[in-house]
Amino acid sequence: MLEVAGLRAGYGAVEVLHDVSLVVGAGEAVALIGANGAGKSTTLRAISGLVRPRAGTVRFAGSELVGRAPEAIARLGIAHVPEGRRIFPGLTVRENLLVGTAARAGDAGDREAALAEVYRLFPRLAERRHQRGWSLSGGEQQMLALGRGLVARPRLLLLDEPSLGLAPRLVREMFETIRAINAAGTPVLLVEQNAYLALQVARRGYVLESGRVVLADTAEALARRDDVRAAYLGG
Amino acid sequence: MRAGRLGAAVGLGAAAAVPLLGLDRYTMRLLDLGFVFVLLTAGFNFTLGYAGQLSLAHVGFFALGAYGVGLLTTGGVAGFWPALGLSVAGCVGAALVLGVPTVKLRTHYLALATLSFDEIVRLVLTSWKAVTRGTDGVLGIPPPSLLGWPVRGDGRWYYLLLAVTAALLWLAHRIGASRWGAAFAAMRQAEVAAEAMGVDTVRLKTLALALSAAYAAVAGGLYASLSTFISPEFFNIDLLVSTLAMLLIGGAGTVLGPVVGGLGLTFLPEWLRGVERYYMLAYGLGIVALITLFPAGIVGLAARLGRRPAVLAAPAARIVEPLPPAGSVAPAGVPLLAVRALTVRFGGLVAVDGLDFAVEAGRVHGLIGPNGAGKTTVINVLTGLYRPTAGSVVLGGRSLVGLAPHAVTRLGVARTFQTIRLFPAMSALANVMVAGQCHATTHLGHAVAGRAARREREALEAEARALLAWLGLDARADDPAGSLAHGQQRLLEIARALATRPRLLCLDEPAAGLTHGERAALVERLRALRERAVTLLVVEHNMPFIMQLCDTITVLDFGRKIAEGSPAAVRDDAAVVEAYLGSPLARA
Amino acid sequence: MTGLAMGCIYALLALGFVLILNASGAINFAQGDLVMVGGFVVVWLGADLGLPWYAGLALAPLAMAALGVLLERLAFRPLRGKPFVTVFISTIGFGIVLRNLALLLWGPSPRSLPGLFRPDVLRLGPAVVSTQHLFIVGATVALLVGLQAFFVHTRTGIWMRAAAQDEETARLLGVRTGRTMVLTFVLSSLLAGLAGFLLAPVFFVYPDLGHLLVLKLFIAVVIGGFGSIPGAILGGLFLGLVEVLAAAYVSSLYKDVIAFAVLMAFLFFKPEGFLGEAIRDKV
Repeated sequence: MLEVAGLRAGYGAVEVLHDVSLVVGAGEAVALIGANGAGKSTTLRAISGLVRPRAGTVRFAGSELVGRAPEAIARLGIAHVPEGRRIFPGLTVRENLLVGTAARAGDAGDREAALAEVYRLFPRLAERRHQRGWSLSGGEQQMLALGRGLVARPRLLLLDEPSLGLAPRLVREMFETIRAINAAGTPVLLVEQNAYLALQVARRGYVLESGRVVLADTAEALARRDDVRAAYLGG
Repeated sequence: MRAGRLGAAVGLGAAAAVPLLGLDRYTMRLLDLGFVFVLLTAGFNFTLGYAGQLSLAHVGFFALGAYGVGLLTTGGVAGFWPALGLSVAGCVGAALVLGVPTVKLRTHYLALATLSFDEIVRLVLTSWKAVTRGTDGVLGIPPPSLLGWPVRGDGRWYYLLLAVTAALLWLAHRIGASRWGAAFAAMRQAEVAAEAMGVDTVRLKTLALALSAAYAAVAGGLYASLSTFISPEFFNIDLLVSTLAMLLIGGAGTVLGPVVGGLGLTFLPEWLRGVERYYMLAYGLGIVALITLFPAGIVGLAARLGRRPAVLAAPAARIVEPLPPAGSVAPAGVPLLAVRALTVRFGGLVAVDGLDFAVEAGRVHGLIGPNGAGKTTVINVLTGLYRPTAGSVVLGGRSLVGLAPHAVTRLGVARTFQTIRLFPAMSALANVMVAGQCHATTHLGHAVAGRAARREREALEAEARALLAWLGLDARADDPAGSLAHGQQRLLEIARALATRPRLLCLDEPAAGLTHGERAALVERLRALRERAVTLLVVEHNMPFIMQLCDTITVLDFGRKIAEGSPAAVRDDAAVVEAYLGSPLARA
Repeated sequence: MTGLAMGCIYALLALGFVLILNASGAINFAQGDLVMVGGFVVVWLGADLGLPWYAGLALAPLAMAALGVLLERLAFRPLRGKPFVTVFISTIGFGIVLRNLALLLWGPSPRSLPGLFRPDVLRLGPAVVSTQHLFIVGATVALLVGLQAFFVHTRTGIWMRAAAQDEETARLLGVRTGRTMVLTFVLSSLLAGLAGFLLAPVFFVYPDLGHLLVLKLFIAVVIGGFGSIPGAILGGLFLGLVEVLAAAYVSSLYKDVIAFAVLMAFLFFKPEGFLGEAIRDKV
C-alpha cells in the first residue's frame, strides 16, 4: 500500500532523515518508534507532503507522492493526524469534522453519514458537537483530531503521537479505539514515543534512530528485545 | 576599514567640491533639501535599520523640530542655534516618554501607535491656530548665523548642511561600529536570544528611539530655516511612506543606505518629472517592484555582491586562558540553585506542578523526561523568560523571580536553546562577543572617540577567540553563524553562553543532531567545565549522553518530579521506565 | 444616526481588513484605497456613463473582485514568508498605484453621487432621518447576516475560517488553501467596494480618500480588538459614534485628534481592544 524508500529530508540546513525505508501493507497497523529527535514526525510529514524530501520515493497505491502538495495527497486518501492535535480552535466540533470532509468527494448525505459514524465512535464528541474547539479538554481534542482524520474515510491513517499530553486512562481508551479502527480495515502508520503501547496495537514495527531505520520486526519481537529499551533509556 | 575611511574621505571631498561646479540655484536648493532628507532618513535608520523596530514616529519629531525652531525664532524668543538645541532636547524628552509604552508593543501595534503619534502631531499643528497659525503656516523663519554671519546664499547653506550631515552620519557610523551596533544587530536577528545573552533590549530600543528623535529634530529645524516657511500639510503620511520606502530601498541598517535613500527621496520626483502625469504611478509600481526584488535594499545588495564582511584587525597574539575563572569556586555540595514548589500555568494548562529540586555547585545535573514533561519550561523560568505562577527560584541566596532575562544573565545564569537561536548573519566570533558584552564597562560616549572602547573590544575579541578555540571552532570564527554545520552551531551556542561568565549554565538539548563523535567530544568538554567552577544543568533526550555526563538526574513527567538520583538509580526506576516506554495495554 | 451610518461604513472597512489580516497575517495598507476605487467605479458607472443601477450592481463587483485577485497575486503571494515590513511596503505601493490610477482616470476633484432615494428624508415620529443613512445601515445589516450565513453554513466558508486559523492543518485535510486565500482577498475587496458604494452619496470620493480611511480603519480595528471579526464591527460602530459625539460636544476641529488619542490610549492600556485576544473565530 505504502512504500517508502531511501527517504532523505530535513529543515533548512539540518538533515533529519538520512535513509528511511518502510512499508505498510493493506489493513496493517505499523508502529514507528524511537527516541525524541529520531525523525519520526518528520517521516510522517514527508509522507503527507508538509516536508519535501530531498531524495527517495514515497509510493502509495502505485502513485508517487513526492512533490505533490499536501492537499492533493490528502485527496488521494491519506489522512495525517498531526502531533499536538491542531484542531481549529474557533470552529465547533461539527465544523472541525466538516473540514475533514474536504478530502473526500461526495454529497451532503454522504458527509452526514460519515459524521454520524464518528459520533458513534466518540459519543463525547456527539454531546459537544456545537462547542468551540478551544473549550474542549485535551482528551476530547485528541478524539476530535482523530475523528477529523476518519471522516474522510481515508485509505491510510497517519497518527503522530496520539498519546501526547494525555492522562494514562485516556491513553488506554485512545489506543483501544485505534485498534478498533484498524480492525475495521483502515491501515495505520502510528508514530509514538510510548513504545509498549504502540507495539501492542501494531502488528509490525520499525525503530528509528538518528534518521535511520535500525530495527524492523514484528511488534512482538521488538517488544521483547533489550536494545529497544536501550535505545530509549540508554542501556 | 582602510578602504572605508578612504572612501569616506573621497566622498566628502567630492561633496565639498560640488558648489564649485557652478550649478544653478534650483539644483543647489535641491541638494540642500537632499541633506535634510538624508538626516531624517538616517534618524529613521536607528529605529528601523539598527533596532529593527517598525517605529514610525520620526515624521512627528521632524515636524516638532521644524515648528520648534520656526516658532521660537519668529517669535523672537531665541536665535536659531538655541532654538534648535531646545527643539532637539524637547523631542528627545518626548521620545523617552513615548518610549515607555511603545517598547512593549509588537510590530503591528508599534507601527500603528507611532503612526498615530505622527497624525496627532500634524492634527494638533493644524488645529491649534492660536499658537501654530494652523494651515497658514509659519513664515519668514530666519536663517542661522555662524560666528555672527547669517547663513545666506547657496554656498554657505550648502557647507553648513554638509558639515552637519557629515558629522551626524559619522556619529551614526561610530555607534554602528561600536558594541552597541553589535547589540542592535543581535537584537534584530534574535531578540529573545540577545536578551538571554545579557543585552538590555528595552534600553536599546529606547536609545534607538531617542537618537531617531534627535536626528529628526535637527533635520526639522534645518528644514524650517532653509525653506523659511513651514506648514502642517508637509508632514503627512506621504512623507512617512516616502521615508519608509526610501530607507528600505536604500538599505536599512547600513550607513550609506540613508544617503542613497535620502537622495532618492529628493531627486526621484525630479527625475520622474519628465514623465509628468505618470510619475507617481511609476513611483508606486517602482516601490512594489524594488521591494520584491531587493528585500535587503540597494546598499545591502551591493554589500553582498562586492565586499566581504569586515574583518576586525587581528589582535596581537596573546596566550589567553580558555575560560576565565567564573568567580570563586563554591564548596562542592552546597546548593547553587534551589527551586521550591515551582508551578507554571498557561491558562488552563499546568506545565510545571509543584516542582522541588536543587542543583549543587560544581556538579552536572541532568533534567530528563518524556515530551511535554515541562523541562524547557523550567529552563525558561530559571532564565527569566517566563514568570512562574507560584514557587521560588533562588540562585546563591538571591531570588530570580521577576527579573528580566538580561538581569538573570548578569547574575550568572546562561543558557542555550533547544531550537538553535544564533545571530545568523553575524560571524561566529561576533556572536560570542555580543554575549561577552554583558560585563563591559564602557559607555556610549566612549564609542564615539577615545581608545577605551578599542581596548575593550580587543580584550573581548581575545576572550571570544579563546572560547571558540577551546570548542574547536576557531577555523570558522569569521564565518557567518548561519553557515556553520548543525553540530558546530550547537557548540557555538555553548561558546556564546560561556562568554557571559556564568555560574550556572543551562543546556537545552545540546546533543541534538550531533554525530556520535561530536557527542563524545562534547561530553569531554562539558566535564572540563566542571573543573572551572561552572555548574551545569542539562536537558536532554539522548540517554547514553546524559548517563555518561551527569552526576545527578531529576526526572519529570507531566510537570512533576517522578524520580531523582544517580544515573544508575534513575535508569532502573520503575516509574521512569513506565513514563518513557509505557506499560502494557489491558488485555481486551 | 449619522454616527451609526458612518459607523457601519467603518465597520465594513474594518471587516475587509481583518479578513485579510487573519488569513494572511499581513496588514493591507491599500484597503482604504480599495474603497476609494469602489466609490469611483460606482460614480463613474452611475453618473458619468449614466448606466442604470442594475448594470452598476453587476459590473462594479466584478471590477472589485478582479482588483482583489490582482492584489493577492501581485502584492501578497510573491512575498509570503518575507518580513512584515516588506509586505507592508508592498501594499503601500499598491495603494499609491491605485491612487494615481484614480487620479489619471477620474481627475482630482471630489465626486459624489446624488442620493439613491426620493424622498431624501423620512419622518419617524419626532426624528428626521436621512433615507440614505437608513439604507446604509440596512445594507450593512443585510450583508453581515449574509456573511454570517456564508461562513457558518457553507463548506467554502468553513474552509476559509479553518485556513485562517491553521493553514497547515487545513491543507492536511485537503483544503486548497491557495484558493481560499484568493477568495478571501476577493471578498475583502467586494466589501471595500460596497463601502465605497454606500459612501459615495453621503460623502465625497477623491483620490486621496484612501489615506483618511486607512487611518480610521486602524483605529476601529484596534479598539474592537485586532484580528477579531465581531471586534472589527464593534470598533467601526464605536468609532462612528465617538466621532459624532466629539464633533457635537467638543469641537469638530479636534474630532480627529480625539479619535487618534483614543487609539493611542487603547494601544497603551488595552491593546487587545474590546473583544481582545480571547479565542476568537478568525475568518
